[in-house]
Amino acid sequence: MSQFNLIDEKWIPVRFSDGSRDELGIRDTLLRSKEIAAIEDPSPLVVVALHRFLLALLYRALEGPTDIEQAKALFRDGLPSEKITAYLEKWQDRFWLFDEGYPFYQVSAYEPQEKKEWKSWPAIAAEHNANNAKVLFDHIEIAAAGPTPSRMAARWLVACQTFALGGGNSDFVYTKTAPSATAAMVLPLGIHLHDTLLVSLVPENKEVLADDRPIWEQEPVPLASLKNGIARPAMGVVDLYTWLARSITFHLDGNGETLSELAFASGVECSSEGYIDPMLGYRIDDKWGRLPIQFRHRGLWRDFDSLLPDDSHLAPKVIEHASVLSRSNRDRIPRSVLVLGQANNKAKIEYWRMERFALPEALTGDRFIRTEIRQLLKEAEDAQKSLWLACRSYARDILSRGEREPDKKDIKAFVEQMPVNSWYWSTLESRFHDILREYTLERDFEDIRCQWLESVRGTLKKAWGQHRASVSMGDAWAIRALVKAEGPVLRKLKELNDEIAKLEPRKEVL
Amino acid sequence: MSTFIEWLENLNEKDTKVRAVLRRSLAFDPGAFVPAYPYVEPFLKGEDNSWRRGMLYLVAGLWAAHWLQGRQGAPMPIGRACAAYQAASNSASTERRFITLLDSDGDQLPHRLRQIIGLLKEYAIDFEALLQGLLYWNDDRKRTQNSWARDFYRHLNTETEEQLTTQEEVSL
Repeated sequence: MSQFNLIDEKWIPVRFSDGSRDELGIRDTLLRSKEIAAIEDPSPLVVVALHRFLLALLYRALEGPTDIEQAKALFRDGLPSEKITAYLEKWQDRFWLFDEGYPFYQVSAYEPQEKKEWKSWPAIAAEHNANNAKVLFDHIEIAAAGPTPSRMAARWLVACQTFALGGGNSDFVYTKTAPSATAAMVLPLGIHLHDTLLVSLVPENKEVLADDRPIWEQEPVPLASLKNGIARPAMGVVDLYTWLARSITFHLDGNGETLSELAFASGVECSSEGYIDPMLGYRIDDKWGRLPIQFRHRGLWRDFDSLLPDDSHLAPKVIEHASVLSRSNRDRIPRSVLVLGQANNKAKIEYWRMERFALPEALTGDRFIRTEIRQLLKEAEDAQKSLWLACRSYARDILSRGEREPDKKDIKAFVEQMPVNSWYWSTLESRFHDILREYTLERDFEDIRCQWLESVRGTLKKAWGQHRASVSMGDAWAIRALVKAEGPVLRKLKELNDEIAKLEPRKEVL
Repeated sequence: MSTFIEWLENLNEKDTKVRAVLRRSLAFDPGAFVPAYPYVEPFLKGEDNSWRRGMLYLVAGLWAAHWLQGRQGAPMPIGRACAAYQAASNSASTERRFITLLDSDGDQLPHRLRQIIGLLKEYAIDFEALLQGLLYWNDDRKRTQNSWARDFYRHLNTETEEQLTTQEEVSL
């Protein structure tokens, strides 16, 4: 029996412009998108996965946009309700969470052979304990988690298909990573959900879009193929946004309001290389070519320039598209951008994250803002290098007392536990957000740069000052190491002083 | 008001015994050699801080031991003098001696300082700065030790020659 239709049931968590919150079905979310400020969920993975899902729906319902003119017309006139309603009516039967023929985003034919193969729902919820990923302060028992509401299960299902990490045998074959699972996904935020969706609806070629079908329009993949480990190329953006990374089946128990068991195995592998995900920024690696920007140990803001468009077209297409669309309508330019995703290490999630940046207003102008911001970031990196050199010298002298050259690994480990570097970066990060907000078309770059250099200088000085204060009470060896180390920092401070003096407006001589 | 060293120099001009008495005082704990009292007490003017009293007696003794007729050159801080001595003598043990001095507590200080000053016979020492530094020896933030170390290494390594001192350390 069919239960829980995602078009009508409430499962998408939204915050309305008046601040109230609710959950909505697909139809209401799309039709009332101008009333909705944002989709909000405690999980960043769910947030971005739901956006991708809604975008895939829109591509199909609108049969476009296929070129920039169409995109501009949509942006001007708004989402056409009739088309959306008609499309949802047409595919209504494919949105049942529990269904014998076509359960949404699942593989109905898959049923584990043994009773013990049914898994508890945390298997698809990345933020809860799993067998190989323990989450601190999460006390859900993996084997017997009990039932969870279907609306939550539906959210995790979409997120799981988007972010499944490979590594480990399943009922079928070795699991593979979902196409864009390890990248940092970018989402420009419009003034309401309506705009957020439209600025991310990057035009797709008409020919491609015609055959680019989402999972609910496709015929189920034969179980035999799944068992053999099927791989196929992506047909297009819609296919990519609704990729079947895992074969999941929800077990219907009761009236469909809750889920307690599911089957979980490997899905379809994406064999296309070089597909471009519009939500991803890329960089060119000397060895591997074009690679998506990922969350790393360092904060993503230090690579912020890679999210801004330029001639290399490596920036996320959604940002490029947003800047083109809002050029004609400055009031509706996305004020901020979310970067969401997870960092993984050997099939384990290290962390998941959502970062929010102000989107520089100057993006809509003709300036080389990417180059400008890269220069600012480089200045911060250069200054940090002097800090690092000083730390290394300090570590070396503390470890050896001048008698021998300590092991490089020991020096590195010592430097890493010094709080000075992370303090430097975290302090500058908040300054960077301020700078982004001030990046308007009217502001002169030299002004912004001067302001930034002052922040870098202040932060560097304070970072080293704090280190010095913490050490100067130590024994004479520590003082010796400190005094011998600070050359690079002081040289850099002098350089910054000179540079700032050049940029500062000269005082009138009275 | 004249400085302590000027005071001692003035006494020295008037009385030939001064240096001999003060030099001899180094064999005792600072402030424990009674014959030195007439030369230091008038400057102390009833100061009852025992650390300050001790350091003045100590510096008076060191000054007397180091005094040389017709010494040339501008007086330099002790850190710088040590660096100059190490550079000239090429002796690696000077740095160690200096580090040990910086690590001294109140009891160890007179002896170690006396040894170091003994080595620096050739160099003019800024005793006034030395005294100022010693008065703050027990400061929680070890500002004196930091400043002396900075003097030492700044003059030892040509690569860190820039103006390293910040305002904070200048205004010790």
